[in-house]
Amino acid sequence: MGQKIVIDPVTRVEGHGRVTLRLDDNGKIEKALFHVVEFRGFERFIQGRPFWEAPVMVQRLCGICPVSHHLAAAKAIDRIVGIDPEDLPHTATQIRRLLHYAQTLQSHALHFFYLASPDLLFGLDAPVEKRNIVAVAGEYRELARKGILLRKYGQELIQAIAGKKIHGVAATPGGVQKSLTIKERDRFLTGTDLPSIDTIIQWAKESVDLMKGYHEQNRSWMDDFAVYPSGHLGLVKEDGALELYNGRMRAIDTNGALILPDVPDYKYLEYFAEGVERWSYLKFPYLISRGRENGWNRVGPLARLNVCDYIPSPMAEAERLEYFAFNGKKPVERTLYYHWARLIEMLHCAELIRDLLNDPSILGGELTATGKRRPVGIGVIEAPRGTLIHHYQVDEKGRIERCNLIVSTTHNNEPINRAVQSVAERILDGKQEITEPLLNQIEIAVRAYDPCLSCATHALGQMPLSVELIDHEGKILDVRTRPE
Amino acid sequence: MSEHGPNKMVILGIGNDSRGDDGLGWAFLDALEKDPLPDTQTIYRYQLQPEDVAEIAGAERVVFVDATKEYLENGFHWEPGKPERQPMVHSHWLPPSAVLGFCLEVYDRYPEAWVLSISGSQWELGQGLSPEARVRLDAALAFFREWYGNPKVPLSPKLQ
Repeated sequence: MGQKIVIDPVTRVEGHGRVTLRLDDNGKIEKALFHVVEFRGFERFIQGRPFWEAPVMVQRLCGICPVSHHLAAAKAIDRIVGIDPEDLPHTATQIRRLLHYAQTLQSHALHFFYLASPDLLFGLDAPVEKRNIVAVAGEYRELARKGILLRKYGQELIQAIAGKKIHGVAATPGGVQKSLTIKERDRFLTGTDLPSIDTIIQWAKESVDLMKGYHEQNRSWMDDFAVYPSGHLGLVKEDGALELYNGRMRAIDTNGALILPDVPDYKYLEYFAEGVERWSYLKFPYLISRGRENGWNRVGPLARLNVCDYIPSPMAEAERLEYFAFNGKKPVERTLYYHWARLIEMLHCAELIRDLLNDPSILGGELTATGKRRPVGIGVIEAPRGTLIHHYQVDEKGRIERCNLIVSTTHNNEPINRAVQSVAERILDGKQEITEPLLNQIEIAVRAYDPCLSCATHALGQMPLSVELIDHEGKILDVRTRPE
Repeated sequence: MSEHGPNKMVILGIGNDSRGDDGLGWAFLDALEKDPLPDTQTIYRYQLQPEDVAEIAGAERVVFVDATKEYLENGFHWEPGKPERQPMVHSHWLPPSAVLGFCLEVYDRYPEAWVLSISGSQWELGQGLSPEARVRLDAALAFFREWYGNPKVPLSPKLQ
């Protein structure tokens, strides 16, 4: 008789998800499905609201990456007020970039130190009560302290720019609210109550070194876990450099061939469509030219390093070269390399923050620009978890008529399903019971993508995830749920 | 104080002012800020997170202020905070006891801690504080200011 395994809820991801493992008559994995069971709502209830509210309202769909939504919406609203990215005042662009890099720094620190490091430091067979940041602090105190302060640094910088650590307001249509004062700037540059930016860079570099050491000791595990072919999508600068705030959309296939050749972000609808499945609220974006079956792409740190030609900051670029040297090929399609790529990006963001803190334009200058109103605005950025698209259409009175959001985790929907399937086929095949270490490997696969399920469904979410085992007739044979 | 800062007391207000009486923690801080207490830092939080240990690690005292759904006869409850070494399975919701326990784990110490819970009764979006919650808030504020002035004085009988 066919069987089904369900992991519900998956822990240490942002949101609430469920994994269903469907077994065939022979006890082999027939299909692994990663469900998101929260309801999608923001695109609807923002309809009828004035467009200038979008950057403030839409960021509320997440408490982890609100800055990303704030900036993507702001970029879209810029276009509605007639301001293209190149027309934004230089100070406004630099302040927004500083905000974005601070957000990415703190988000990557949160994921690595709080969510991922317990898996890496304690191993797959560690008991669940040990796989958390408290246990990390118990055995790796200095590492935990640095992780805490890396995240705090990013959050404090967000607060200095946007007024609040969560759901602040920095961007306005066509600009920003404020620049930084010298005193505000110096707090982050030289360090007073916070570490200096040079210390942050040093700690970010140490984090990459930690990952390299881990890789050296666990190479076969990292190299063989949840490896599968896919497309890869991200923004790049005109010269092919890694770009997080404003660039052109590039995608490559599993062989590294260009399948989306650096197209303008505001033309995304010409290239992308979204599929739906009845078993998940998450949509499935894909490249129209490749079709629903083959056009899906990974996004986020792993994909961004795959699509870019280089990283425009020296320390992170040196790490990128080493990362690819270890891997031996491009693109990297090993799921656990997400962690490594994420830490290289954290280092990159720290370097960019240092550069911006030394840029006098963040201390003053023209803050906003105005242009001629347009009915449609599209804003695309690279959020910590991947490519984030905001699209608004407004009526003549400025009320939002239509809103479409394609968030990072939506792009990674199919990849997460593939990762779970890959792990399930290798590990759970033939078993009728979900053991703790096996359960955790499914979660590790999901967690590598740092999925934000609240964002992806635009709902307020709770954390966990569950796994269930189901036979081919739909009968549930086993269910494992992490404690709330 | 924060890890490097000078504050002797940190007051963390927990809640969300978009959700009715869940805004009690923030309203408490708003009221304090109108007449600030010396050597005190107020911090607004939607929820407590692991990095909050960096805010409280060097403080002499910390006070966590939050709304509760529990009916409290006097409208609020004041009790000592105790550290617990508990696993944090989830990344972004921690009780005060877990933050104190994490602080002890990371910094080998934790500040004298107090938890002030104030009863709420409505929690819907955009409602603001209910009239009952405002009354309880005023009572909690009056108690807190009295305690701040002389923290060694025993708690009033109704609170024990």
